[in-house]
Amino acid sequence: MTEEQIRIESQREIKDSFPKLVVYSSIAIIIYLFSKMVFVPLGKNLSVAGISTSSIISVIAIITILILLYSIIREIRDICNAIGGLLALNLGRDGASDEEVGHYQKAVKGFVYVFVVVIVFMFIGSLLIEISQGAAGLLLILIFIWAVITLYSAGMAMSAEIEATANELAQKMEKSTTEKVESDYKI
Amino acid sequence: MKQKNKLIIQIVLLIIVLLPFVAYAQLYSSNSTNEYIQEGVEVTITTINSAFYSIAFILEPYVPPELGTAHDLLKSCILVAGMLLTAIMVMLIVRTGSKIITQWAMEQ
Repeated sequence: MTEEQIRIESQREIKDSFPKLVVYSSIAIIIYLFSKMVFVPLGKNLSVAGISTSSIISVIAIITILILLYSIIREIRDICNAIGGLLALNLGRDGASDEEVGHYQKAVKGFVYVFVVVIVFMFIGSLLIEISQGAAGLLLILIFIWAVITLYSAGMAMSAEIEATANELAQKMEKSTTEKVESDYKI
Repeated sequence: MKQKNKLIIQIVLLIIVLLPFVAYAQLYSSNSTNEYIQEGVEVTITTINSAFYSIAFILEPYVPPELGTAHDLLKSCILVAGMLLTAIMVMLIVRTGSKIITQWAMEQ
């Protein structure tokens, strides 16, 4: 891909995905608020076949939020790829290679995914507590382990890019110094 | 039908589905200082509960005892149906909304 193609594709992705992300997130928040403030309180002290009605309502709300989360993650992936591409063009080395763009995209995706999953856990966790506190705790531990691994790989991708940029700078400096020494020697 | 009209209809339907539940939940938490309003709220709550108990009394012989009381079952069914309807309406709104946004992005 040429730099111009990356720029056009990135801007198109941001224009398409950002409004969708806002709509999906707002609807997920609406579902959470209505289930938490209307349906779950009304379902307390009620039970069907020994199962609490508030638990059934929480399960429906969690499933709906998870379906929305799938769409949210898809849009976030597109936006992160677009931002990664733009970052590689503006901050990266001369002539953005596919590998360089990939590194920036991986780094941006890692940081944003962790941020989003932590926010979503705050919603899902409070609904999950209605069903089982143990499950909420277990999910928190799993999310923590996943976040550590994701942040580590994002950091490694950034570190590879910084190393490559530093090498390029060192080579440039070495070249200019050699040229200067040679010109001084000639004089 | 145009996507925008479809979206508006879906949002209105969602509001219609949610409104009775919101009103019912708010009635219980209502604590007005005006005694006429408070009396009105209590009368409404009593009327709704009487309707629930009357329907539950009719359903009682048909409800297996292992499912619990007819009153609990009736209220639970209404709540779960409300939550399911809300979830379905929300999914439809998301689908229509995403189509509108994609069209808008293509036009841009």
